[in-house]
Amino acid sequence: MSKITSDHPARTGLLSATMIAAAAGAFLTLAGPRPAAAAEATLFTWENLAEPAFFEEYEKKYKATPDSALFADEDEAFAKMMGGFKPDVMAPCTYEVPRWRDAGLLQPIDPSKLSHWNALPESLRNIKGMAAEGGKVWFVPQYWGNTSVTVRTDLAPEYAGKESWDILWDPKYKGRVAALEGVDDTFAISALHIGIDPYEPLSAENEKKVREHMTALAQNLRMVTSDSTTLVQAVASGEVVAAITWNDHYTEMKAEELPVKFMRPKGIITFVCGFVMHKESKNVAKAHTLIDSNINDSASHFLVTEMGYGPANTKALKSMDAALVQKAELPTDADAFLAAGIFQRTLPNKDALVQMWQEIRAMSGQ
Amino acid sequence: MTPSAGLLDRLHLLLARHEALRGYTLISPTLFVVLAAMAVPLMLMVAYSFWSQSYVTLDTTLTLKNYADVATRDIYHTLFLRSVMISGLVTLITVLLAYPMAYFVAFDVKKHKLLWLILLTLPFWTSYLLRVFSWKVILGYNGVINSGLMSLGVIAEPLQFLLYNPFSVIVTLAHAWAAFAILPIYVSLEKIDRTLLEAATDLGDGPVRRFFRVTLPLSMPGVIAASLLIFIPTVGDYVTPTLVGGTGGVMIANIIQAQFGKANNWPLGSALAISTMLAVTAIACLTIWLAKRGTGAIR
Repeated sequence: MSKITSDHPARTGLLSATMIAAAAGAFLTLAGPRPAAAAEATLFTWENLAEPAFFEEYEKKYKATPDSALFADEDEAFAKMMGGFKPDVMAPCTYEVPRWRDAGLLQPIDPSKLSHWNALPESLRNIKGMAAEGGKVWFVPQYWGNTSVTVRTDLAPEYAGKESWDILWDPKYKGRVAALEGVDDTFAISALHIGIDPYEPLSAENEKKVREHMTALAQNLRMVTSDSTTLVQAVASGEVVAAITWNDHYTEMKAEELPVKFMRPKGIITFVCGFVMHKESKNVAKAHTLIDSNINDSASHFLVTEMGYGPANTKALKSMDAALVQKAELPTDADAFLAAGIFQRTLPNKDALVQMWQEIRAMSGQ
Repeated sequence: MTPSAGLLDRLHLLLARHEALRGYTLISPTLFVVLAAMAVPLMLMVAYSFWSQSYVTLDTTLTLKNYADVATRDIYHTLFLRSVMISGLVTLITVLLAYPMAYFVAFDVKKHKLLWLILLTLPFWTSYLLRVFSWKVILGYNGVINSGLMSLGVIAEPLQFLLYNPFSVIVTLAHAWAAFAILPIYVSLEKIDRTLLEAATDLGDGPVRRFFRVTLPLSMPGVIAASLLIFIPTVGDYVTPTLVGGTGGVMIANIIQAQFGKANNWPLGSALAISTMLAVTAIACLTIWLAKRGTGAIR
C-alpha cells in the first residue's frame, strides 16, 4: 500500500472534495426543497373515513383523487398539525373545533359554495358556536352518531336485555373490557355513568369521584386503544366482552355476524362530526368541492349502510329505503331527533383531563 | 493562474500546515450532522423545559414549574422506576442468554465464523415493528401459544397473562435486542489471548475457575458495553410498551410521548425527557464504576 502523505495530490483532492460535500450538504439542508403548491386538496380524516365513496363528486369535477392523511383520534390530529402538518380540510367533531380555532388552525368555510348545504336540517346548519362572520361557518357537519358500549351478548347474556354501561365496571368481567383512548369518549362515559355532567367544570369533589370511577374502569380494562381494527378484532375473538365504541365499530361487528348489542341508555352521547378548513389552505376552491363531495347523496347513503352513522344530509336519508335506515338502527325522524340536540360538547379543561387519564392508566397497572 | 485556483492552493497549504484543521475537515460532514440533528434539538428541548404551556399558547417566560412537577408527582417516579426495572431485567436476561452464544462462536466454532455471526443477526433482517407485532401474534389471546396449548388440551381458556403486561414487554425487548448483546461480547471474547487460558490451566485452574478468573474478567468490557447498549435505549422505548404493554406495562417514554402528542404539553415533556436522560446517565456511570470495581476484585 502506498503511503499517502499530507502533500500528496490524492490526499488534498480528497480533502477539498470532503469540504465541498460538507458545504453542499449544509446548503441543501438549510435551503431545503421548496414544496410545489399541492395539486390536489388534502383531507385529514379518521382512519376509516377516507373511502372512495366520499370523493366521487370531487373526482368527477377535477378528474383526480384528493390526497388523504389519517388520524386515529383528534388529539393525535391536533398534535400533528401543531407540529407543522398543513392539510386543506380536516374532519374533527364539533367539540374539538373551538380548540383548533383558538390555536389559529382554521379559516371559515363559505356555505354558499356548497351545493348540498341546504339539504342539511336547520339544527345542523346553526350549531352553537360554529358561525363565523359574513354568513360563513367554521364547521360543516357530515354525520352524527353515538359513543356507547358494545357488548357480546353470547359472552355476557345477562346484559342482553339491558340498556346500560354497567358491564365496564362489572368485576365479573375484569380484564375483559376495552375503552377508547380519547377522553372525549372515555371520560364522558365515566362521568355520565355516575351522574356527573362532563361538560361543566368539575368541582373538586366531583373530580375525585370521576377519578375514582375511571381508576376502577382502568383496573377492569384489557386494553385502551384508538385503533378500530384492534378493537373490532378483540371483540370478535372474544378477548374482550364489552368495549366503548362508535356506531361504525358496531356496524362492522354486525356485518361479521357477531352476536353484539349497542347499548342505548338514556342520555347516550351523540356527536356531530364534519369538516373544517385549514387556515393556510392554498386550495380553497378544491377544499370546498371536497367538503361538498363528502355530504352529497351517495356519500350520505354510504355512511348509513356501511358505517351505521346518520348523515347530516337528512334529505338524502329521507330518500333511502326505510328498511336500510332501520337496519342501521337510526331514529325514524332524524330531523326531530337532531332538533332535540343533546350533543357532545367541548370538555372544559381538557388538557388536565388528558393528563389525568394518562396518569390513571399508568398507575392502575401492576 | 485564476484567483479561485490561488485560493484553493492557499487552502491546501493551510490544511497541510495544521493537523487539527485537517482532522476537523475530515469529520466535518459527521460533525455537521451531529450538530444539526443532535445538539440543536437537544438545546431546543432544554429551552422548552423551562417554558410552560397553557391551553394553546406557549409561554416563554422562564420557569422551574415543569421540573417541580417532575420532582413532586408520584406518577413520574413510579413510571421511571418501573422503566428501570423492566429495562434492567431485559438487560440481565439478554446478556445472560447472549453470553453462551457469543462464547460458543468465539471459542468452539472453528469454521465459517462469519456465517454464524450473520445467522445470529438474522432477527435484525426484519423491522423492529414487525418483530414487536410478531410477539403480539405469538402471545395474543388467539395467538400461537394459546391456540397451541388449547388444541393440546392443556388449558380450556386462553391464558390472559401472556400479553399486555410488563412480562410481555420484557420478552419482546429481550428478543429484539439480543444481537446488540451478542456482538460486543463476541468481540471481547475473541480478543482474549488464548495463551492466558493455557497458562491458567497449566497453573492448575479447572474449567470453571479458569472461566471466572480469566475469561469473564477479560470479557467484561464487552459485557458492560452490551449492558449499556441495551439498557439505555430500552429505558426510553415506547413502541413496545404501546403495542404489548397494556395498562400495566406503561413506561416513562409513553408518558413523555403523550406530552408531545395528546396532552399537548411540550414543556413538561421536555422536562421529563431531560430528567430521564440525566437519571439514565447517572445509572450508566454507576454501572461502569461498579463493574470496574467488581472486575478488579475478581482478579
